[in-house]
Amino acid sequence: MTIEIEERPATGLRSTIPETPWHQVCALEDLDSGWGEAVWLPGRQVALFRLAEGTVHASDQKCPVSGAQVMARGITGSSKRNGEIFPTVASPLHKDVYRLDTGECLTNPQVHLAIHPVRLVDGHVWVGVPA
Amino acid sequence: MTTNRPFPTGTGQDPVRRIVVVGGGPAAHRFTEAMAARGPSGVRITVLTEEAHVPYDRVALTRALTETDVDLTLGRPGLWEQEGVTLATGTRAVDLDLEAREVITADGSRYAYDELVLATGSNAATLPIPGNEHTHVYRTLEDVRAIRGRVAELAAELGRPVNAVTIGGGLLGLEAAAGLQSLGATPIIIDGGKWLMGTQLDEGAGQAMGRLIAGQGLEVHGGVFPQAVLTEEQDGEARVVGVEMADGRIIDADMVVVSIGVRPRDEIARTLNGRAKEEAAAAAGMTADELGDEDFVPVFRMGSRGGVVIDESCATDVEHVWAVGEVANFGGMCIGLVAPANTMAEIVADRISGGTATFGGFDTATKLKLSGVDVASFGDAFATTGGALEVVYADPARGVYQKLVVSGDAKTLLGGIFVGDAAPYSSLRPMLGRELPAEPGAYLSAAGGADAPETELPDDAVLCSCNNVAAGTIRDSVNGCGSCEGQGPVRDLGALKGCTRAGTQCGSCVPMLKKLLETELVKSGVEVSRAMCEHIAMSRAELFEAVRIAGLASFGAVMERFGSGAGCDICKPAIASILASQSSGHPLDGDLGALQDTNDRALANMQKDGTYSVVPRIPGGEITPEKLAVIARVASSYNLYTKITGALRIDLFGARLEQLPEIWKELVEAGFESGHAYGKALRNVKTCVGSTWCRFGVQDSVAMGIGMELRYRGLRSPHKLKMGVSGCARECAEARAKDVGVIATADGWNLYVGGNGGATPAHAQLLAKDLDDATLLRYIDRYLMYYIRTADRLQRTARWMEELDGGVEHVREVVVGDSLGLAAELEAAMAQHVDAYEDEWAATLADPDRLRRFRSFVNAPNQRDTTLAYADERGQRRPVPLGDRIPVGPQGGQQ
Repeated sequence: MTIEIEERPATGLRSTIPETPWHQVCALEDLDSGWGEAVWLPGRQVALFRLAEGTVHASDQKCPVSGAQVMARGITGSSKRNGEIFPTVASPLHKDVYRLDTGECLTNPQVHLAIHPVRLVDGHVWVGVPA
Repeated sequence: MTTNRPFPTGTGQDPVRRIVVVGGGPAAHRFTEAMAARGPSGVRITVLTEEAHVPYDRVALTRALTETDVDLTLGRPGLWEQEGVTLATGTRAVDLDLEAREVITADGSRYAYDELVLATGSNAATLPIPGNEHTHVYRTLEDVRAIRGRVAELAAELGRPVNAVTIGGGLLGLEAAAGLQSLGATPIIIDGGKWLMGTQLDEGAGQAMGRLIAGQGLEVHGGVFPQAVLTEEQDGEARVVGVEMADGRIIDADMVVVSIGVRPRDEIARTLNGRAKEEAAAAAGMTADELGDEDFVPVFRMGSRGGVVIDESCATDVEHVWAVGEVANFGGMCIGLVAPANTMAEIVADRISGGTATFGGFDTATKLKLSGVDVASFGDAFATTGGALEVVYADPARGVYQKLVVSGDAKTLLGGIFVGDAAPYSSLRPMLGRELPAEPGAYLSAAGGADAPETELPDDAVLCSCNNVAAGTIRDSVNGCGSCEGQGPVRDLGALKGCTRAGTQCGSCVPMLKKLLETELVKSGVEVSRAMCEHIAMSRAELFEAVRIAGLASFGAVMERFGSGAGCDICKPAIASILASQSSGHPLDGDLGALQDTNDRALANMQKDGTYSVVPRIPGGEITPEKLAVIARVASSYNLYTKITGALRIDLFGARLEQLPEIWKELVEAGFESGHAYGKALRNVKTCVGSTWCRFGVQDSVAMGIGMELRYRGLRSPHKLKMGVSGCARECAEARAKDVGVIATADGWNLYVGGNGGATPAHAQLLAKDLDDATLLRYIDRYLMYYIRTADRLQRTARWMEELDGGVEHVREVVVGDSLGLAAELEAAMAQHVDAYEDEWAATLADPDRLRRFRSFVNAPNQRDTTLAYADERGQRRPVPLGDRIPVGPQGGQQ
């Protein structure tokens, strides 16, 4: 069983910042390749995307432009800028395209999509979401 | 004497400049448009026309012969409503009072002018032979309608094809004969010349032309003049029975159309000249007949064969009186072509506005608009220029004749003739009078045309001769000259046509226009690659063919063969649509689910708050009260906002993702199926009530509409498809606003295609007439499949046809004439779709893997999204704008 771990960037102040609460949300096999699913967490909805290469990404479920809880229903894909290839998702409402690794919006620099860390542990998906 | 508003006579102090145009044809239209475009402050334009119509496009007159309700109106509709512009229809000008500067009309009204433009055009010439009074001419909408009516009348009476003789084998005569043929008549052409189109073609070209015309089933009697139209008395009415030729032969005829040229409508000028002559004679103590023409100076100089003589500013001999179009005689000629008329109109508009434009002579380039016969002639086609060389390629076996006329040094292009293959015409015509970059022979079919170098048109070369648009004007527009209101650089053909007017009249320059647009875009660094996106380097049409030939059935296979990367929101739905059009898999199966666009993904239409609307299919808009009650019950139990759509259906809003299966379970159990309101697919077929109930209906439009909707339901296409069926010509179903429109006739159905509403509305165009049920469906099958295979992604039928070389003519050749030999294949593809159809929602409910796609949360499959909030409005709920919401906790929100 491969374990893939993504961590938030370490900072020198780590010890003074409360640990991000981690939530075990589903089994990896609950997720279909390329297809997004919504996750219900107290006070926050999260969008999960399993991509073809096997990685799982998490973002806010809320569309930064419209405020509707829909991001998991967007179309995933990839894009290439300056030789770098990264995963993307297009909002289902107005098709703004966001980088799934950084949250940067490629079509509208005014907005940003919150990205959350994901851990895959023994076939289970964990998401770290600020309290 | 009466005085007409808005220009009371005798108000010499009026600061407004009064411009009166006599005549209401294309030249008058162009002049008015040119003046209006200049911003007519302080100018009032009044157009007096004896016709009952606003100016219409006479170049396209043949269409009115074969299409019942074709709209030939010229230009934008607002022109005649514009302030300062008045169109007086049914008003015939008969005389001028030059001293008072007034136009006098048939009813005695007077219109004062500061500038007067004569644009009276011409009349069809008549034959000076016995029986001429029983012939038709081919000149106005009324003439054409009379011909159409007579053919129908005779066909009904005689019970056999009507023998329709056209006298005159010129451009217009051939168009008339071809039109008569398409009306079902047997077309016969009588032409006194040794070969057809003698004005434009030399003998070699004429011979090739004769073969082509005969190949189209037109019977030609050339080289002999007719000497009488024979009639017989029948029920007190003279009936045409034949045409007697000068050599004594008699050609059977049930009707005769005379198209032997035009005569300038110069009566007003003649009236003034006649009066002046009488006055001069009286002063000399003679009668007018006694006064020799040399002893008298006419008011207007006239051409020997008629027409008011103009100078290079288009001014007549009388101050403030101008003449444009076919009535204007320049250099001893009057020409019945639209291009010089437009040029003259622009020149007068310029002169009146203080400009110094001049008319340089007639551009007599012509291209015949007959399907199956490619003919063009331009410039010095007969090589009359001293020392001119003729480079000829003739292939009698193929019916091809091509000739270029060049200067003695074989460098400068002076003219040319193309018969059978006029492909080089559109790129060569703008090079007229210029040095050719290669040897003349390189441009002819003998060389395959392929060796001809790409011709870079100089900026001042005229690309569209009808509207006198230079290549430089096109370049400016593409590069963003901003001359079009609210527009930056023009990037597509449709916009370019609208902005520059190039290609909007006869259309022969469109291929050239397209090429120039693409060249300019490449130059300015704009990608003209047809690539769909960064992952797929092909256009949709190319990918469709590639996938079809390779027989691919999954996204993974397509990307592996033809793509790169993981795809995106552009190529994924396009590939899903292509796969759906070629096979019959369920949209949520396998790797297809993740490709689907927002709506297809949930088989419902996502609304602004992320909930969905549900639209059950109601074929043809027909529904029983019991089924209506089911919809009401479902809407009420799920508290769905309910609205009737524009497509004779009912839309139920506010369903959450996880509610869709339960809602559809109830609907499917009651006999409903998916309406595909979410798909780039057939939406609905709108019908009127038709002959079963309506007292005007001539066919059962509801039954036909339901049949069509059940046949094409679920058909995935490059964009949504809408159809309509009307039970009679009143067209209550608005079928001509649809991609496929069917209108009942007494004899069957007329099929219209390419109508769109939306941001750029387009009227559907007639594809075929009086079809029986089976032929109608066969043609629709072919049309839809041809569209699905060749259109670009998100390109609706109107834009698709606009961009096809040949437009509706091409589509007609493919669909009706099977010119590509594709008909059987297209029909088979449609048959496969019809056989494999299953209701997507019933299929979804039957499969747990598909139902899994409708859970609200992966970790809480039945948890309701509590952030949704609604307010009451007019007795139903609507989403609360997000800004107005109070943050809600786990228990918050309203259902």
